[in-house]
Amino acid sequence: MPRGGSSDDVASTPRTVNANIFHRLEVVVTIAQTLLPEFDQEMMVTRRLLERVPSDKGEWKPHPKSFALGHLAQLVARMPGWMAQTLRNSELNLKAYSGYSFEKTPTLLAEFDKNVREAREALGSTSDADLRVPWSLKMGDRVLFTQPRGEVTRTHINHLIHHRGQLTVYLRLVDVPLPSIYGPTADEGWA
Amino acid sequence: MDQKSLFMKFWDKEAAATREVIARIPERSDYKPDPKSRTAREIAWLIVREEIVLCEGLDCGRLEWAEVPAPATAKEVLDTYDRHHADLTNRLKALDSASWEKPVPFLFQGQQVSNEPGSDTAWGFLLDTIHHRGQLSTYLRPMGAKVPQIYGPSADEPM
Repeated sequence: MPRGGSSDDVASTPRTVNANIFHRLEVVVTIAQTLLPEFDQEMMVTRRLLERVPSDKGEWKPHPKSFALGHLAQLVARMPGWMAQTLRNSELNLKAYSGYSFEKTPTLLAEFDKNVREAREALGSTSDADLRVPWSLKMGDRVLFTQPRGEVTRTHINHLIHHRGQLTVYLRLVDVPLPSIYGPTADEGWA
Repeated sequence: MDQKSLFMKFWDKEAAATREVIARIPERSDYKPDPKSRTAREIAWLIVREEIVLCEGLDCGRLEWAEVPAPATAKEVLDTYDRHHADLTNRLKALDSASWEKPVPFLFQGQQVSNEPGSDTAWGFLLDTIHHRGQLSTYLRPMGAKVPQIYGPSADEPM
């Protein structure tokens, strides 16, 4: 069952908070900051899943053409870092992107935590104008696409959820009980 | 672009990939990777039901989840998706900003489980369908189907 998330827009209307009946405290909340509650919830759930990846089954895959479990887990651990990269730069060249390796789960968790911390800092300090800056994904000299940073950042969240969904299937197939993601699983109730 | 227009942009983009994944479930397949898992057809049906419950619920100001058994065939699931998707999308697009922002009660098994703004509810449902579509994408190769491009190339359909 789905849960409520928060949302992202590219308008620049100031958002205000009524502090109390006597003092109207005007606080400018950026669009990127409005993503933080959703980001925190999704990263908490993602970490809960990553913690269960068995270090000794990294090479397992459900089909010869599929990504190995260890590589899929590493991708999920890296993806929050894409958000900080997008919010602080104007392009990424895939030619410079490092390949995948098999790492123990504590190593993946350390990388995930670092990436989440950096993404959170970036979301907290990005202005609405910065979110409108075009960002390009390149492969060498070829531009694969250019979109506003805000849209790319939202795509990274959706993309992470996609691969995390794949990871849930992998984990069940290596006999790992699945925690709640958006609701109870066959193994566990609400978190 | 305002908040709702941005959501609709992602709604359309994700829907194209979702339809492609559902369309690739081989007919007569009751595949599930594990006895505890849903079948491919059941996951696809869950995605279809989520779209219907979300859009009808936001339109009438109250979401209520009702378990509706999956059709017997993957084709019927896809046909239901195709029959409803454009109309549901139009209903979402037609929502005014007040309906988009006001709290909408969500009932599950007769109990209210949330009362979030329509915008948060919409994103929540969309993310849940992305999660389940991700699961479904891992079923395709063991069922003998090919994985389409979703956020980028797949081993079956490179760049």
